[in-house]
Formats: sequence, C-alpha cells, structure tokens
Amino acid sequence: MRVKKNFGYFLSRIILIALVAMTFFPFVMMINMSLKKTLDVKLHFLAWPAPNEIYWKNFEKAFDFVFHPIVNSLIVCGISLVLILIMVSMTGYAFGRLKFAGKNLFFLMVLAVMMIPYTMLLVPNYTIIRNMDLLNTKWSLIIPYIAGQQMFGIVLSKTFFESLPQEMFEAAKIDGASEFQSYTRIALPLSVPTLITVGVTCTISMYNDYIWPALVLTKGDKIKTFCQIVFNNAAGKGTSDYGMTTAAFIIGTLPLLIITLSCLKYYLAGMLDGAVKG
Amino acid sequence: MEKKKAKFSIYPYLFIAPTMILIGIFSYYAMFNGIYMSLTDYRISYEEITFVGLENYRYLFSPDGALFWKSFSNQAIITICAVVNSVFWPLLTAELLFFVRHKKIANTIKSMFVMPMLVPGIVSTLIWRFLYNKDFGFNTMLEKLGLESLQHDWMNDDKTALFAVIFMGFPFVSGMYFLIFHSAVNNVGQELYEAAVIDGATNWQVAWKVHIPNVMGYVTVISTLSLIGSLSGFGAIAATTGGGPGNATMIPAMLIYRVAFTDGRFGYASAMGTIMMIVIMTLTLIQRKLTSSKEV
Amino acid sequence: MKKILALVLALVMALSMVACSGKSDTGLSVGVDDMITDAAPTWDTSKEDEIVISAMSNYYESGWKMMAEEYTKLHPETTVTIDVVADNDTLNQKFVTWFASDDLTDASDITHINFAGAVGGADLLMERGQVYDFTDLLDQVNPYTGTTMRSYMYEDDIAALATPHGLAAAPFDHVAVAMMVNVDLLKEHGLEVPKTMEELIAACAKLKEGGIEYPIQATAEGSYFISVLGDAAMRDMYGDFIYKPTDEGYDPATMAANDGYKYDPAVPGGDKDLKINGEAKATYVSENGFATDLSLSIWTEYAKLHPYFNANYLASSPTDVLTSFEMQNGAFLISGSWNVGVLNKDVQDMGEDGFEWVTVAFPNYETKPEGWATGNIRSLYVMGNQMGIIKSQGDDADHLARVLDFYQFVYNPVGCAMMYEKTLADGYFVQGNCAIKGVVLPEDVDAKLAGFYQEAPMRSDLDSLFGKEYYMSEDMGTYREYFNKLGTELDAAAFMAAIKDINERKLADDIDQNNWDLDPSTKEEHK
Repeated sequence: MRVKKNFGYFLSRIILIALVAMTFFPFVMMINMSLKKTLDVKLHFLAWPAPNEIYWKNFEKAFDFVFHPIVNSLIVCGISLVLILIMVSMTGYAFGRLKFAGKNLFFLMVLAVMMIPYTMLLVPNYTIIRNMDLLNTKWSLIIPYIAGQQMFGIVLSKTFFESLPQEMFEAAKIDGASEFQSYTRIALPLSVPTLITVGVTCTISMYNDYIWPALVLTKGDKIKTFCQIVFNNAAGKGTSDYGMTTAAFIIGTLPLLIITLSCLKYYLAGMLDGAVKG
Repeated sequence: MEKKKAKFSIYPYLFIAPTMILIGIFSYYAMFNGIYMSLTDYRISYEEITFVGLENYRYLFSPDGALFWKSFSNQAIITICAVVNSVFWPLLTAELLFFVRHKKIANTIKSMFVMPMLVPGIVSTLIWRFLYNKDFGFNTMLEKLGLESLQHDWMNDDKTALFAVIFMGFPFVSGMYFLIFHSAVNNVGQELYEAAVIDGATNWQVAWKVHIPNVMGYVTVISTLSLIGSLSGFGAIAATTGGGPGNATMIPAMLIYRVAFTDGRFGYASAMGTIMMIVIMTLTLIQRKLTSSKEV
Repeated sequence: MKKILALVLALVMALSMVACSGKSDTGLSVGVDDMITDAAPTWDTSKEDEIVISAMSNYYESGWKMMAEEYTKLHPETTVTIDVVADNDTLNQKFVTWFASDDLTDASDITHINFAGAVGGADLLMERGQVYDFTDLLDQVNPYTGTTMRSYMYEDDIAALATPHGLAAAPFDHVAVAMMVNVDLLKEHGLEVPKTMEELIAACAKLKEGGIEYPIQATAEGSYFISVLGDAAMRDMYGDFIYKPTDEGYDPATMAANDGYKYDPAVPGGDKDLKINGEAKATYVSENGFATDLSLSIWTEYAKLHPYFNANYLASSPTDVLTSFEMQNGAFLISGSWNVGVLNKDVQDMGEDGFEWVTVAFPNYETKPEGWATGNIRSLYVMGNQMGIIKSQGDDADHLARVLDFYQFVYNPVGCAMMYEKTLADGYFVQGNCAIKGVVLPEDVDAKLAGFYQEAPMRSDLDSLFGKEYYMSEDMGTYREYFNKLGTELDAAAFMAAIKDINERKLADDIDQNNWDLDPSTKEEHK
C-alpha cells in the first residue's frame, strides 16, 4: 500500500511527537531537579549540570530519608497482596461458578461499596482500628487495604471464572472432585494471568495511598510508607529542599517500576481483557 | 444438563465469607456509623454524643451552609473536564498511533506512553506543583520564550488556580484509558480497515466512520470509570492548593476533610459526607441508565 | 529494553547506597562530653522502651534527630523516635485523633503542646492529668548539669508559659516576627531603609512604579502584621476585657496581674501577664458589632499596604516566598525569626548573586491614626517551641522517668547549643534566640537575629474584635477570597461588610460552645 505523505501525515506525526514530549516533560524535569542543589534549582531552573557537577548529595540524603518508608510500603503491599489474591479468587469463583441463594444480592453489595466516598470512611475506620489496638502497626494498613481493594479484583475474576467452559468441571465432578478441589486444581491455576493483573493494580493503588497512612501511622518516620513521607514533607507547606525531594521521588518510584515492568505483558493483557468484558 | 433442585451447600458461603466480613466491617458498618454520627453534634472534644436529629442537615440547607453547595460547582467543572480529558486525549493518541504503519516505532511510542503510569500519583502531583511555582518552572520557560506576559502565579491566583488544577496531568494520555482505546482501535478488524481503504477512504474517514462507532462502548465504560474516579478523589487538591486561593478550587471532599480534621466537627462533616454519598450514588445510577441504553 | 532498564535502576540504587555509607560523628563544637553523664538512671535499665517525639517538620529537625541518636548511645535501653509532622494542620489532626478517646497509648510523648488547643487546651489537659506539669521539675537538679533548670531560664519566660493548672512546657526559644530588608534592592531604586510606617508605604509605592510587582513578600506569618496594627490601635483597651475579681472564672492565683491594671505607654510590658476573659469579648462584640470605627480604621491602615503584598500570601509556601525574596523579587520580607538561618545560608551560598540584607522591627507611625492608642509599635515576641509531655502511658512511672530524662538531656545549655549548631549547619530552621542562658550562636546569625528583639511582646487577644481571621474552618476560603481583594477592589468598609456573616457565625458558635450567657459574672456549664 502506498502511503500518502500529505499534510495530514506530517501533522499527525508532529502531534504525536508533541504528545510524547509533553507526557515526559514533568519527569524529565524531575530528574533535572534531583541533580542540582536546591539553590540552583531555584535560580537556574532549566540548566542541566555537567556530569562532573552533579550534586549526588541529594541522593545520599534522599536515600536515608526514604529507605525505611520504601521497605515499609513494600512489606505492607506484599502481605496485603497475598491475602487479597486469595480472597479475590475465592469470592470471584463463588460468584462466577457457584449457585447459591442471595448470590446476586451479595454481588450487588460488593459493587455498591465502590460508591461510598472515601472521606466518609476515614473517621469510622480509624476508630475501628484503634479499638482493635492496631495503630502504628503494619496491620493498621493491611486490614483496611484488603477490605477496600478487592472490588476490582472480584469483578475481574468473576468474569474470568464465568468464562471457563462447563465441560472442564463436569469432567472433574465425574472423577469425584469436590467443589473445593475444582477450585484449587482447575480454576485457580488457569486464573493466574488475571490474578497478576489484579495484583499489579492493587499494588500500585496501595503503594500510592497517603491519606490513610497519615492518620494511622504517626510514630516516627521509620514506620511510615513512602508516599506518606512524600506527602508529609513536600505537600504541606512546601519542602525546603527541592533537590533532595525529587531525588527521593526517583528512588521511591524504582521499586514500583521494577515490579510492574517484570509483569508488564500479563498486566496489560489482563487489564484489557477485563475492561472489554467488564 | 437438567437443573435439579439445588442441594444446599455451605461451600459458596465459606468462599465469600472473608470478603463479606471485611467489607461488612470496614465499608458498611463504617458507613452506617458515619450516617449515625451525622445525626449527632459530635465534636472531638466532647465527652458524650448527643443525638440532634436533622440539625446538621438543616444547617447545611440554610444560608450558612452555602459553601458546601458552591463547592459542587467546582467539582462539576473538574469532573466534566476529567471525563472529557479521559476520553478525548487517549482516543486521539490511539488513533494517531494506529496510522503509524511502522510496527516497531509504534510499539516504542506506545511503551513510552505507558512508562509514566508507574510513577506514584503523589509524585506526579508534586512535580506539577513545582512546575507551577511562580519563580521557576513553567514561568522560567515562558520567560525564555519571551512570553513573560503569560507568566502567572498559577496556583495562587484565583483566576488561574482551577485551570491549573484541571490542567495537571496534561496531556492525559499516560494511563489505562489509552491502552484500552489502543487495543480497541486495533481490534476493530483488519478486514473492515482494508475494505474502507479499497473504497478510497482517507485516514480521516476511516477514523471517523469505522473506528469511532465501534469503540463507543469503550467510551461509555471509560466515562463511567473516570466519573467515579473524579468524584471520589481529593488527594490532588489536598496536596496542592488545599481548596484555595479563597475557595477557587474547593471541592466537597476537601471541605469535609477540613471540617472533620481541623475543627474536629465529626457530626457536621458526616452530614456532608452522607449527602456526597447520595449524590455520587445518584450520578452513578444515572450514568448506568444512560449507558445501558447504548449496548456495545 | 527491559534488561537495560533493570540494569540502570540497579545501578542507581547501588550508587545511592555506596554514597551514603559511613556516618560521621556530630562534628560540633560542643557535645555530650560537656554534660554530666554518669548520673544514676531513675528507671529500670533492664527493660526496653521507646519515647516518641512529634516535631514539626524542618524546625530543629536535624537537631532533634541528632539528640535522639546521642541519647540512645548513652542509654541503649531507650529508643528515641522522632516523628516529623508535615505542618500545623497535620499536628492538629493528630491531636484530634489522639484525644478522641481516653486511651492515650498511641499519642506521642513529647510534642508541641500548644497545639492542644484543638482538643481543649494544654491547661485543660493538665487538669485532667493527661499532660505533665513541669512546675516541680524546674526546681529539681538536672542530672546532666548539676544545676536546676530554673537557674538557667528566665523568670519572665516561665511566667509566660504558666497557666492556671501548671506549666505545660519549659522555655526553649523565642519566636519573633519582623521585617527583613534587601538593602541593595532599595538602593537600586534610590530608597533607604524606611524609618516610619509612612516611609514604608511610600517606599512600596515607589518600588511598584519601578517594576517590582510585590514589594512586600510575606509568608503566612505576614498576617501577624495585621495583629501588630490591631495591637497598636487597641493597646489601651486590654484593661476592659481582663478577668475582674467579680467575674466567674477569676482565679486570684494566676490573675494577680489583672488587679489594678492601668494602661501606661511608658511601661511597654505592663500588659504582659494579663488574662483576658473571652466572654467579655463576646459580650462586647455582640453589643457593638465588628465594624466599629476603630475596626474600620485598623483595616483602612492595613489596606494601604495590602496591595503590595504577594498574592494569596496566607496560603503560600514559606519556601516559595523565601525564594522570591532571594531572587530579589521583593524588597521586604515579613516573616519570622525562624527563616533567618536558611536565608543566611542561602545568601552566602549565592556568592556574587547575593545581596546585603538586615532585619528591622516594624517602623513606628510618625503620626498615628486617629483614635489609636499611644505607644510604640510592638510585634510578636513570644515563646517559641512549647514542647510538652503527654502522659501517653498513663501513670507508668518508669516510662515517665525516661521521658523526663530525655527532656532534661536536651533542655540544658549544652544540649541546646548542640541542637542549634546542628540545625543551622544542616540548613534547617532555628526559631530565634534560645531561651536558655549560656547558649552561644555563630556571630553572623546572632547579628541577623538582633533585629527581632522587642522590648515587650504585642498581644493579639483582641484580633477577633475586628474580625481578623475569625471564622469556622469551612469559611476560611471565603474569608481569604475577600481578604485578597482588600485595598484594591474592596475598601475596609466593604471588606467588613463582606465578612460580617462569617464573623457572626463564628461568634454564635463560640457562644454556643462555651455556653456563655454574655454576663461575665455568672457561671456556666461547660459542654
């Protein structure tokens, strides 16, 4: 096919490049700011330092600053994730394949939760956590997270399990498998890609949260999560050290980048599938 | 297979039990607790809770509570723009990308759009805040381009603050919505595309007549998702303007947060929260009604 | 592509780790060795425990962290954790959540106790036994110095912090608000440092003509300037609102200063210890309204200068404002003494791009507006950090002993000197002059702090009488909306008319919360 290189062709290419450039611009500047002293950031905003002028101290200070928070974030995300995936797949399977009284009602209840505004739940949840004596522990984050992050996963896994052909399970039943074994031996292994999708989405969402940790984790920077630290020190009345803060941003984004990039294929495939059917 | 009378099995209930218990406590119990609190005059410094019935609501509907309703107008502007941005830009980009015939380049560009998705939201928000700074950032660039007259104190000027908040995140491409549109456009079907080309359609006509009708389903899905997302979140505003300057960027959620945690007036804040919940539920239901009449 | 990315990421992380290996020792001119460190512990050293300090972000932050480390080196059985709080709102929120029930175990042990206002005030908490009372501790021997704390503190400072039910915090430093002036920038426009308020107004006008859009840069603390004007106008009225012996709530023990008080401009600090009766204020405003002639006059004076302030300064970030001042976008910086350390370091780092600057107190009026009190202009000059102790573990004596021990470790001439030096060296904020005798600061910093000294602190109790920042939290935005237009679109009268509803709403709430019957002499029930 001959491609017509007319005005429209060039225009669309130019627009595309512009869009990419504008998408990247803030992050490029973030890297720029992290390489300079704060004073230089203020006075010579657009200048790029020469390789031997790079102010590595920003990263030094930033590393001290965010090391523990990042570890905390990862631990919380990790534990929550395991529990979420277990529950999401069990519940999704039940809604997708099992018949029981009140099934639609329960499912509706699960969906309806998404409509409760965040601000309404902050104070009551805090009181509950405090009464359980879990403040300032990782569990104060984990338990509400597994309560709140399941919705998307349940919808996705229900759709997936519904789509599995009945014959698979018929065969198993004939062989004498119990319901639970049908679940663990057949359905679960097949759902791994879906679960990866759910997992990555939830991890990103939990890693990013800062409002809730700001309420329940109050004892010292060492137990706070990464995004909370950033919010505390940079979003309030403004940070005093732009260089260090942007360096901290970069360091804190790395774990998330590593995790997601390694599962990227599954993640994207799963998301699209889910959106198509959901 | 014939459907016999179902034997009662406890299994399904066990499967869903952990989920239901958790959301029972942290979502439903919490919500009812919140509604109950909205019927009290509870403040954090009080030692006991006094039931005052609909007093908080009466206050909200009186002239004294006007700010809460005014903030909905900001919310409306922000949400409408958010929904439009969530559909327009990703779709535009997906279309433009579709017509890049060179596969490798197209894939590289697609990856480049995906990468910023992985940066935590608060980080992106704060970078934009730095860029909006009145002494460096965008203003420096405007100066270099000789456009000094366009320099503004973006987040402190009530004429530009709302615009600045809405504009954060431009060009709004990096995200799930783009990937969905990208896959949708590509899935429309090679045959349709080729048939159109044979008929002499220009790229523009292909996009308009072939792609768009087929992705309308996705447009509605994405509109719903971004509607809910925009109504529930206030993190961006909390991390940047705090609702200011004045009330230029005040939204209901931010107001609730402020009243609850600066004044400690949980009762009153809960009343606002309850109303907000009703509004969100209503809007979502309306959205559903509208979209269910447009099946994919 | 993925592999390259992973490699790059790993490299960056490795580099960061290498770069920060090896911590140096304090490197200060004074250290723990200058204290007495062999006193016998009054707690059980075989048990481990943790103390939590909630300190405001950037204020002495690195000083606190260093002291925490040094203390744990000395007493390994106690871990000291510094919880850095982002801003005032966050600390308010913390207090609200800590005191949401009677169980305080999750509260921090040491924190800025002045924020207890969100939950009833430090005095009320001391009465309930939830906050520690320092009165006795001051007369005990500090194990780290061999002297009593009172011996190296100023009586005036201690008195300033005392409340009816005790002493919720020990003096640490002073905080003041004044004007920092860019002398070079003024010279460029043919101006000198203003010596009167009228000269200041004229200078601002000239600067604006010369192209400086916002001659006055103010951080949020710039609103103290309004209180300065209010104090200058209403100084002779404090006597009308003090607790009288016939009033309910009058406590002869703490309100002795009220007796026989008479305003005398020759005694600048004469009103320092007055205790103002909130109900009297509410009564006055209910009868006279907010927009009295005097109120209008105060706002009119302020409106002359307001257009020269940077836009929306009440919500500005201090770093942004400092940046503007450093970039010479403004000639006057109205801010607090706590910015001196950072400003000093930055200007020095700027080298040639730097400029000469001085600190001056707010200038007096050559001709005071009609109806205003006589006497010189005063500014904010108060106790700074008020670190109090929340009895988070209730009556656990062992825990309390450790908390007190750490407190005394810090609150002595050596400890404070260490805090100050470390904070300044790291470029963080020092609030102002130290309130502990015998602490010496680097010479250049001392010189810049001198301009903050006031012979007597101003009072801002009567701010609510002219409606200044008197609102319920949800009205804050509306108030600021009108405030931003003062002096340009709204004159004083229009402004007061606009905020009338807001003020009255708050007044109604105050009256309701306190159950006042607007007669100071009768008793009320507290909710």
